[in-house]
Amino acid sequence: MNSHTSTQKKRRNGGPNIELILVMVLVGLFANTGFLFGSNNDEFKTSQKDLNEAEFKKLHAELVPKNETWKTIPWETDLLAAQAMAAEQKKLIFIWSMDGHPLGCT
Amino acid sequence: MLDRELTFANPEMLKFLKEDFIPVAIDQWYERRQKDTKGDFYRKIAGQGPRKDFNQTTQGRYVCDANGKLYAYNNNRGPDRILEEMKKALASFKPDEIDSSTIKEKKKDPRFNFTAPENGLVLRVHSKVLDGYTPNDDWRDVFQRSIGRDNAWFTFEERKQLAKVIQNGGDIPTKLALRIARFHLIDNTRGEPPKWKPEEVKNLSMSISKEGVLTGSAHLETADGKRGYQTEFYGLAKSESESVTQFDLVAKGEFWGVGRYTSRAPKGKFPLAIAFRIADGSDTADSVAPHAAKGWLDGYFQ
Repeated sequence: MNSHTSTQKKRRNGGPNIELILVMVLVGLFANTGFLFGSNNDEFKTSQKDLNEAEFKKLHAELVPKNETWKTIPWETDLLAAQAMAAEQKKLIFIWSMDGHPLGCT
Repeated sequence: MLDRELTFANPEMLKFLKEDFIPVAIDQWYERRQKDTKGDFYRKIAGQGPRKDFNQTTQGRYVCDANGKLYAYNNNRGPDRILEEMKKALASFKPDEIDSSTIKEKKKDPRFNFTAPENGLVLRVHSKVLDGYTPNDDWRDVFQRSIGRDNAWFTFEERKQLAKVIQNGGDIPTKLALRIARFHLIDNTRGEPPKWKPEEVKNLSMSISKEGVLTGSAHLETADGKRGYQTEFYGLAKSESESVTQFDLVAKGEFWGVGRYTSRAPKGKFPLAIAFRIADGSDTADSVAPHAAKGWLDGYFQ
């Protein structure tokens, strides 16, 4: 016996309407203003509650890489563009070849 | 990340790379796979080195000429050894013997050549572990200073949707909030991090007031509870017509756990902050595809 048949039987017998209950639960979840997923009953009661405008501004300014010497190197990101430059300028190519892009993605 | 701090901070290395070489930075995951002109050229170079199996990583530092002849390979972070190899390469390089023709890009493998969506929105994403490392370990000191980097991409349509929400206030569209959460609320300060699976998004809210203040929270956690991030958001956003002119957002919360390539995290829960801002194209890194899009651009935009 599959679950669908079982549900139909229960409904015929006056059992709970599972679909209706599911809809009510979902409506309840999304009725929590601003919550896209989960509920706002999440037990997130940690010390991060100090993320106000002042903290935001401080962190946003802090999380900008500064004075990075490696960024002063004129990195190309296209191997064929580098080949063309090397051919034209008669220079060697230095390839920084990594797992994850060296200029981003870590 | 360690290369950026350790290898390319050496003054002699900087001078060499600026004056005597054409420096290029790539994620070899793409080049070794792509069946096109660029992939062929990369495999020609890398195939002369010790990492010839293109089913595995070929990462390292290569020195070659415009014809693809390999002069040096090194996968050591120490600048001294790399410098030594570079000097040897320069000494044996005969520029006049090089065929100076440019390789024409006859074929481009669409599976691996990603560019940011036309007229879309690119955000720079920077992450930092704010505390938790022990102070007496050199590497850990580097990790404590480390700022992870990535880019977040949004399509033209998504940019318009976002601009509308910023103008009127309301929830950030679910698809966009999920992309930010799953692919960018990650600890990428020590290496390539794992993404969050859809079922690992336990809780997510991200809304904006009519005054342009972004707030919300997120709870991301693996099924076994070994890795997670509980965070709040605060930010400021502005839009004009269909353009997003400001999207400054900070996530700050407690992260715990590691991924396969992000070991050596502080023990237990540690504070991790992630900042978002609009990329203006002035940085070469602005063109780099999001890490989570690696080999899966359609999935990134789902």
